[in-house]
Amino acid sequence: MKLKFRAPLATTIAIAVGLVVLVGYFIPAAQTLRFIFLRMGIVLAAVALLVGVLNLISVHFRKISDKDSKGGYSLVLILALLATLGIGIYDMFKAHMYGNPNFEWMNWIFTYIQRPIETSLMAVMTVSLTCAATHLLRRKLNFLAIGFFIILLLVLMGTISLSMINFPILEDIRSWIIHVPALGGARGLLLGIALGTITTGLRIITGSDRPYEG
Amino acid sequence: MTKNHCPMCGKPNPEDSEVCQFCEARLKPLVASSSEEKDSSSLTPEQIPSQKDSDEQERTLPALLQDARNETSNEEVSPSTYNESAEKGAVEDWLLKLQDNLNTEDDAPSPSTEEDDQDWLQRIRALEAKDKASEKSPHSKKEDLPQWLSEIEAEEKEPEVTKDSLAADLMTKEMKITFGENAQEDTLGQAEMPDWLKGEIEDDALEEKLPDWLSMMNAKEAEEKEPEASEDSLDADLIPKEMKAPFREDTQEEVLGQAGMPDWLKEEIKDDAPEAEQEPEWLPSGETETPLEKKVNVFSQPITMDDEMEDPEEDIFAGDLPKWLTEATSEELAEEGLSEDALAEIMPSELPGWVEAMRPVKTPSQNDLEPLGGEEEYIENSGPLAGMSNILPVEAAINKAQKASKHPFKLKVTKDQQHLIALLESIISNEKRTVEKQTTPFISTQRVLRWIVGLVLFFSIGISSLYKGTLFSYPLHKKEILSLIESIQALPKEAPVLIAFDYEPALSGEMNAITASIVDHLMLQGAYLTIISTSPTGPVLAENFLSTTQTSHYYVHGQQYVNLGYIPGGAAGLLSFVIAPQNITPLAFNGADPWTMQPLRGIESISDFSLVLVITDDPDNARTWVEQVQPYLAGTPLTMAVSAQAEPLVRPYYEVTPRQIAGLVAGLPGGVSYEQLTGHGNLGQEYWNAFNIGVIVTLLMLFISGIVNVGKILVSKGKENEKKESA
Amino acid sequence: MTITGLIGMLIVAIFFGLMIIFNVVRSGSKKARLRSISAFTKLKQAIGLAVEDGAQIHLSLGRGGVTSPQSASAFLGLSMMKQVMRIASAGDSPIVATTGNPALAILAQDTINSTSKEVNLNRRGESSEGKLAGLTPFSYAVGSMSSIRDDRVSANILAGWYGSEIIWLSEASERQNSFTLAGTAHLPAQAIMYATVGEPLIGEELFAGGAYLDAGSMHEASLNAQDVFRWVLVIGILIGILLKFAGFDQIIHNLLVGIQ
Repeated sequence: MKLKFRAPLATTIAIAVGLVVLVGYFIPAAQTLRFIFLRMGIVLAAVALLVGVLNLISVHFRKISDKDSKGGYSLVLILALLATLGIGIYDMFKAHMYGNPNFEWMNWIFTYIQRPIETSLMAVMTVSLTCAATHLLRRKLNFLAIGFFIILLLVLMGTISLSMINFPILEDIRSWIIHVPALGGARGLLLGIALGTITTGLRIITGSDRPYEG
Repeated sequence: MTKNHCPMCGKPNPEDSEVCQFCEARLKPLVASSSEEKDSSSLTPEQIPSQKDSDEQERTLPALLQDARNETSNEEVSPSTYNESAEKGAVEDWLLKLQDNLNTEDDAPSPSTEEDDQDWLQRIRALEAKDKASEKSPHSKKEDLPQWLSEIEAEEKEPEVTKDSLAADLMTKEMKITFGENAQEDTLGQAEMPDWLKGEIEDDALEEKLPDWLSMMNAKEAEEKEPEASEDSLDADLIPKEMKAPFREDTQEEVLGQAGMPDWLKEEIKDDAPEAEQEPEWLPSGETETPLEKKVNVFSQPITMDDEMEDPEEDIFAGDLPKWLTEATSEELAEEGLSEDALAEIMPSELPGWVEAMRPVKTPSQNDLEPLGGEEEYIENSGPLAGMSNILPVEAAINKAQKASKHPFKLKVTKDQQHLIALLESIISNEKRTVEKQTTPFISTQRVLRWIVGLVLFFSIGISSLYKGTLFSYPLHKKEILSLIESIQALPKEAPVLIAFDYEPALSGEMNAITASIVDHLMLQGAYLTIISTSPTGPVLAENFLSTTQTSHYYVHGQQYVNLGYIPGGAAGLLSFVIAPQNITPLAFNGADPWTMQPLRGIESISDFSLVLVITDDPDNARTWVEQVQPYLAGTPLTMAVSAQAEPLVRPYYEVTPRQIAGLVAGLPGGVSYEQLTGHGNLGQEYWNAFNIGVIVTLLMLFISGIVNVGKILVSKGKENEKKESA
Repeated sequence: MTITGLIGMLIVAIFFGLMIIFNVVRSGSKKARLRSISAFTKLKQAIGLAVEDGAQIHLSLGRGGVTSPQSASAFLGLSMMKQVMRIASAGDSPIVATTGNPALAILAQDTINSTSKEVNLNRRGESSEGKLAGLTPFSYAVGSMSSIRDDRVSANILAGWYGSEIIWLSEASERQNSFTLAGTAHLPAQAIMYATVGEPLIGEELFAGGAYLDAGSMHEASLNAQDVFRWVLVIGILIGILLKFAGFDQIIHNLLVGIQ
């Protein structure tokens, strides 16, 4: 039998669960039910992770089958994923069966493959950020861009601590920039983001936005 | 079987036919009368027209004429008011005058009139005899002659025609002449026929025996042209204007020259000689018109007294008149005492009022119409509309169709429109043109700049990292770092500490340098560590951290530390863990039961931990821990080790009162400062020189690029201003 | 219930009431007058150009989960994706959507299916889909870069939760000379966006995306409610500053502690 969840049913469930979780934050009597729904959400999120991995495999497998120009990379990804999954299962089996919780192979993959790759990407990102900063004034030459650039220079100068040359005023300027204008602007942005988050959540709860319509 | 000759085309038709088989002209007049009356009214050559009452004759008149008579019975038409009466459409009582004239003549027939009638007929007979004799005549006069004329010829008796019948016949004939009807009439009595009806055309007789109305017409024409002329010619006055129009001066000349023969007689006698040979004098020279065209032209000519009839205007019967009736030589004219000039000055006949009313009213468009055949106004010269101008020709116009005048087609196009037109043309023309895709070259300025920046950073940081000395002074100690140190130092031995590894492997370089000394301090304090993460890579990252930075402490999983693994669900999962940690993480990272292990012995809620240390690079992650977990800690200090990018957003949680964060270490300077204060660890200090070198190099590059970019922009703007000024 | 909880509940209730009131008031009236945001104006133009050229539109929803405060950006991204699909429904190429969160990928696929049915998008062959580009931030950024660097893509919309990895996405888009609109609730990422993206959405401008893309009257009502509360907060902050100067802050603190 094929179950088909219609939009009204999905909307009803979404609204009900959202209201309960929201009310549970303020009313202690609803915390138990709220906790139940939260645990259900956690389980769904974990299952969604597995579904996402399967989706990832399917997308790249389709690229290989369609003989895409970048299908080679997709093949490497799928092979790496399957290899890592296999090694992880082996490590877990070995840990359960033989009581060896070291996860030796997983650690080796993480230490010598994943972490170097990601740190290298982070280093490249540093270069990209530097290049982007150098192009900032060429891209936009206005008051805000010039101010952005000047503050960037001041913060960087305040970070340096030269033993030969000591400019404590630079550190004070940096400290002032971080603690006063940057923090104040960040708080204003966060307040606005918080207001937007509230309205977005209320739209979901009231059913105005329904991203789950299938 | 006798045949009826059509008065229009002259072709023979059966006797009983009413309409000509060739030109569909009526052969028998439309007279509303009974057969007996018809029979009685019809005259034979033997009969003399009997006098009839005018009332009876009026009944026979067509309705149009009767109406015209009734409308304009009291109206007089004079030459001076000719045009006015024509415009007003007044119906002249020319018939009345004519009738009166005829009656007066009939009442008191003068011996001269009777003699003139007889002479006229005799002349006709003589001409017929001449035509028969001469073989040159192309047409048989007998064939062309109407029946009544032929009957007149055959009989030498004077027709018994009464005055009334003659008048009636005359009137009917006049009407027929005007309307284009068959001019064929019953035989008229010759006794009382006017001179213009009687036969032979002799110059002297013709001159002497001019009918009064003709002489009146001549007199009026002479008066129009020579106002000093006498007005005694009653004949001219009697002739209504309506009758004058169809009759051109030339035709009148002919009539005069031919002993006053009417035009309708001329048509019957006229032969089919080429128009060039028989071209009457009244035809303008140089014109070459077909007979049909001439007939058509007659209708197109305006009926005006003043207009000189340039085009040959023929009567509707003029085409078929026999030669002997139409020919008028100069000798005959001289004998008659008339000059050509005088004839040319004969006034055209006056149209009846009702004919004038039928004239087309001139419309503004008619004035704009370009007459056919040239710049001159087109005047019809044949047909019922003869003499009228600004009318459509019948057939000649079709044959002479002209091309419409070409008007220059120029659009007013503005410059903007021209520009848009050119743009559209270029778009359309470029549509088919294939544009090669501009591929970015491998060596581009951006790529070169990126390589330069990368190489400079790589070499500067790499070389500086090899240097073991101290190039840069260590940072100042901050109070939040001191607070964290105090919090850790306050922990008892084997205190359960919860550590959250919520940073990405990409930032492990910085975070390891920040947190290595902190975890080392905790291990030195003998704390039991419980590791947890809201990131999927957190548990593995924690294991890697411990195995790389804390090798000197020999911590064993399940004895000194427990790795609870990954908590899915983000903030919701974290909140759930806070409320019920055993339910959320029932198994450890290796699948064993952690809650029976030493590090988690006696732990039932998060507040049972002695310290909570959150290691994160994301300020929002830090905020989530503060917002979701801190309310449930119940006095347990919450400390954080964050990346430099998260410091601005996390510091307020430390500076707030009451503090929500007990201690804070931010960025590599914070880690170095912690190492300096505790004296444990040196990972941060190893990175300190490279860190500062990197910052200085980056600062220099930014400074140089800023100067270069600003300089470029200023130079370009200066050039633009120069161009504008020069322009 | 603590005083904090009570204040929170009150704020939520007032917010909800204001949204309903503004929605009712605006229903049937003319379209709301919104201040001009050049990013959204250019976005519509870019979508139109993409439709005309038959090019693809790439929409990245970030890596924010649905069970955290980061989900607000994710849901906004979904709303914008729905509207972009409606606007670009006349185009030949389907929309490409990438995410960094598994649950968000499922919601994205769901939204694509429902919107495709709504606008009767019957495409032969290739169809719109929500792809999970990566499970970690950097792997997600690298996976999305492959979609951005596709020559068929002429416009990139980065609306969701991002970290520092947004630098790669924005750089890749700028290298392709394609239109880039980016918006996130993550503050460090906003700083990076301002320096690298052509059309950045700063602060809460991202949350106005639904209203500017005609997602519905409720979105516009939400903006109005936000504006009301923004003024309330401004006034409250100013009052607090005055109280601090007057020395009443400690009194209020003690009062709140006592209530709690």
